Amino acid sequence: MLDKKQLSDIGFSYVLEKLEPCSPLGDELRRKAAPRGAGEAALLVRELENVGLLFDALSLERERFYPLERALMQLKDIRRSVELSRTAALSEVELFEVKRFLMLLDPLEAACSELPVIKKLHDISIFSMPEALDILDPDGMRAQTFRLSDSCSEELRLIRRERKRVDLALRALPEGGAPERDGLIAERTLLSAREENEETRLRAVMTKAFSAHSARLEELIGSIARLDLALAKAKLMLAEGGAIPEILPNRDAEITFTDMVNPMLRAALGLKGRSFTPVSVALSKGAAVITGANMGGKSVAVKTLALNALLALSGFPVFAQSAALPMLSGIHLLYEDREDSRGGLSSFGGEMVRFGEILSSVSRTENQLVLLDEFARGTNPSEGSALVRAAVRFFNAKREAYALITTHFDFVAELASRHYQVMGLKNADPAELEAALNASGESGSAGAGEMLARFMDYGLFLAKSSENPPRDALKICRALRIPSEFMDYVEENGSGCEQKSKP
Amino acid sequence: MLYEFIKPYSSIATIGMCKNAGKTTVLNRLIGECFAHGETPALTSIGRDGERSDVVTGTDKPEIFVYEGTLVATAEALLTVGDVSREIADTSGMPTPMGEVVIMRAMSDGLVQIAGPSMTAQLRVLKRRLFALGAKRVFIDGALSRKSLAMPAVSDACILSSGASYSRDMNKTVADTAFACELMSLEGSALFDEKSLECAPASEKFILLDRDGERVSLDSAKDAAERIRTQGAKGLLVRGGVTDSVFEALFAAGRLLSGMEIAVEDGSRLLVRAANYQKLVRAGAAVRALEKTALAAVTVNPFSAYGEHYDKNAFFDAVRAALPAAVPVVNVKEYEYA
Repeated sequence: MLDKKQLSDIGFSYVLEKLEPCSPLGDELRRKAAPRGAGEAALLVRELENVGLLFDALSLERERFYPLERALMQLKDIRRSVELSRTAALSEVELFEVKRFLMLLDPLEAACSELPVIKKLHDISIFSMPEALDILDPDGMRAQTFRLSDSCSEELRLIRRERKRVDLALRALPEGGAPERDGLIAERTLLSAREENEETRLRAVMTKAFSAHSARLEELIGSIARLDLALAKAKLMLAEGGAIPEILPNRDAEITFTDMVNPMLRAALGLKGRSFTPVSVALSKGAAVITGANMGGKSVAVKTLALNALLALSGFPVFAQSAALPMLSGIHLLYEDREDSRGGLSSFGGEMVRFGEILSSVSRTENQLVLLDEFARGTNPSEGSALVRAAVRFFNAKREAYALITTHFDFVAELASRHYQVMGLKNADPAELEAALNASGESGSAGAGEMLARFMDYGLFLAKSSENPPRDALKICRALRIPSEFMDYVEENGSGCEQKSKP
Repeated sequence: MLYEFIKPYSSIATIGMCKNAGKTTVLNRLIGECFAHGETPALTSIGRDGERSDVVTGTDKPEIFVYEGTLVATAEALLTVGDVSREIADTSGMPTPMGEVVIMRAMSDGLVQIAGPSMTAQLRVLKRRLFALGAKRVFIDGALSRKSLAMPAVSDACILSSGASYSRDMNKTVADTAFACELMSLEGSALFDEKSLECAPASEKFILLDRDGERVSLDSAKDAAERIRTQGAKGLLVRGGVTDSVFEALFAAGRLLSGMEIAVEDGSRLLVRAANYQKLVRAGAAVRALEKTALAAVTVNPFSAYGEHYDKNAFFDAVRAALPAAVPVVNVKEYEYA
């Protein structure tokens, strides 16, 4: 499963931040967003359908939703008070909050009834609760404030009448000392205590009557939260683009994502004046491999897939043209994390510990998505390559998980069920690139890096399984203006590795 | 008679030089005089961090007397400490150690205890809310010492209470009161405003306006002084609290301080000794606040809670003589409301 840092690295936290539910109820659900478990497929499908329905309605008439959003924005989170009402008397402030919430249900219900789409939503039903409100507002005044009214008990009415008399008598006293003053103040204190006692008793009675409605109110609050969050997701889809993923009933079905993007990386690239190249991937059970140039976007492709798969399983629209996948019981992502220093292990040691955890998880639970980015890069090429080949063969033999592995190593792709390559500099015109790099020469290797990125094609394409990773490393070094004195040594020593034989 | 001095202002903060300076008496008199003029003002306070232990242990007795109809914004746990009959008018979502700040309306006369939010920004929001609920005037029970919190920034005017409880030495009390008044009635800046702070990141404490009117952000007072010494400047805005060490560093800029403006957010942010302040003024710098607040009046209380009373007339006369004639000075007679 993905940890907090990974959720942030792949852009899931970014997407959650982008979601803007109107109420604290929806926001609570947003913060708890997580993938649905294997047994919750039907629930997930209904959730996604809700988002799709709201998206369609929003796209037609965005402004018709404003009254609903305004009504949602007024709501506070009163779940604790509702819960408490079953066991203890609510305080005046709690009763105030509950009363106000119940009063806000009227405009909410009215706003919903103006929107035909709301009735079509699954597991969402919005209604007002006048019976419950009548308990907190027995006079039916529907004031925005809360006070136990005189009509609640004869005792309360009498105490308050007395109190008024004492107040007026005190006001009428001349400034400075008056003999009656102390007596009146004592009387006031006594009346105040009696009023407090009577109010406490009445609040207990009121709470008890109200608590009969607590279960129904909690149901309603759940509905409101789901509606609010689904609406927020649909609004995000309207703003950022995306599609409702299809959840496939066949648990061995292929995972397909067409033209995925990662909104976090897209925004970061946008700041530099660049755009995100959409990637498409199809995975069946077993291992697929991505190879390709350094700087070519292999890691980005993996993170983008992790993000979108996680979004789909968590009931979100995905950032893709289309997507279809079966229920997955887990998503694992393994990549070199320079900040990860588990118990003083080297980066390779840390990677292997985590890989071991993934293997045992995969053998315990079927139908997981395993993403390994530059697996075993931290060790020597011959053993590293052996490890990656083993991983590919392992996942192919078991066929219990969907694995996607990116690598530089040769002779891996031929074992994989599918082989993707990043385009990299394949289609870049060498003369044009050279000219552009010369032009950017003054700004040094950083400027050259920027320029190189402009010529890089980050798209993925399906390659032959026999094709080894392209030899772009030296090309890139030259492009990055590594001093030629050094590059001469490299060429002398031989890019001889190209003749290396199959292990 | 305090009413006359606060009449032009819609929000007034009461500030005490120390405990028992007569601040609560002033607040009660203000409420009483407003009532006599047919007004029911709204009340709140800036948080009571300094007094928290008192409040939590419950040794504070409710001592502010309000009339029916008064709006009071106070912490939830303090609602039942007073003896007014009340209705809940609104909640604020602002937390305090004693629960959320709640706005209640007094439905009878009686005593209340007030603890409002502790952040200036929250107080600003709360003040707006009180006006929206119908208040015509808001009183803010301020911090005990002007050093505690930025009061003036949220009120149009303030009333400073000084008294014999501040020090056994009357001359010291008078001098410190006069200095506090000077800081509370700083002129508004000609070079900077609230926006000058908003468009700079909060980490930038020193914002300098050079001779060409260009803004330069600096990390330390030392850097600011060096820049002024070598290139001169029109003004320097210091964010947040300004301590003696800042002033002492600025002295290094020497004669180029002359004619410069040194701006602070408001007078209560100046946590400097009078000697350093006067040295800067003598060097020719003008100390200014982002927003000018009015000092509506100064009240004096010759009675000390510790028994060392001053001579009533001598104290009044000394404070009167130490302050500009435009600032009213009032002798507050201690008396109980309830």
